[in-house]
Amino acid sequence: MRIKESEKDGVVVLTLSGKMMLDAKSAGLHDYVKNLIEQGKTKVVMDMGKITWFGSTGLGALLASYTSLKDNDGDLKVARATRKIRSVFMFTQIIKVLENYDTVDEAVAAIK
Amino acid sequence: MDDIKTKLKISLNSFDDLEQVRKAVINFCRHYCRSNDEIDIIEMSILEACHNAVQYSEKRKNKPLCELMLFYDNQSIKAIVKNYGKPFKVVEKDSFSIDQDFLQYKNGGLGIPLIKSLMDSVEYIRKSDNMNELIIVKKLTKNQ
Repeated sequence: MRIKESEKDGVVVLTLSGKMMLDAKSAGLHDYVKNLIEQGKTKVVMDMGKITWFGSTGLGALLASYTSLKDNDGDLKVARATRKIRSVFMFTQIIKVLENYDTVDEAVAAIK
Repeated sequence: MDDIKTKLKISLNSFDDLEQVRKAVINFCRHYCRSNDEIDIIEMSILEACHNAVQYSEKRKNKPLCELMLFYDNQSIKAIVKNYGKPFKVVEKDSFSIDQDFLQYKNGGLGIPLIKSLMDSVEYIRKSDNMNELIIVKKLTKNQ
């Protein structure tokens, strides 16, 4: 999995791409977010439109990131989650805590 | 599952074989599932199980790292994932819940809880010769 960082209206946008499965990079997503928190960046949007595979390690890192941001008065929104990811969010009820938006702009507007 | 109509068997020898599994599971489920959501969660659960089975499998001469069998019986789809290796905890783990502390999953450990929350039944059998067998079942929604 690759992580590309950009900023929009004071919100960090992490564009994730590739396989979000059982690899060090997927688990490393939480460390990446913790590093952002240390820099005082606590509003994060994750663009998941380019994720080709999605597994429990990626989901665990995503949820841990959400908790760490919330614990630091921040927030996490998801944008452009694929149909498969949305299905998992729905069946596990993750959708109740982690909102998905159709576009990055919508997610940024919601978190500002 | 007494009246098994269809079955499919796939051997995996590396992570590269997961793509073949993904395609086969989707093709298999397309015949019987009534919604894409249903296919998505069965696919994800089976891939998760196979991925972990390959990851933690012991290499045996003339044996695949993991073996997947799929069955359909008019009411449900059942997947059996076999590998050789250390036993793992299934019964002891709860289904995933949004009320849990998510930080416990920062380095993994969500695989079985996730499969338990997506599928209707998850059973683990430890067999002789270090064989693990994970049996997961999804009851299919009926035609409206």
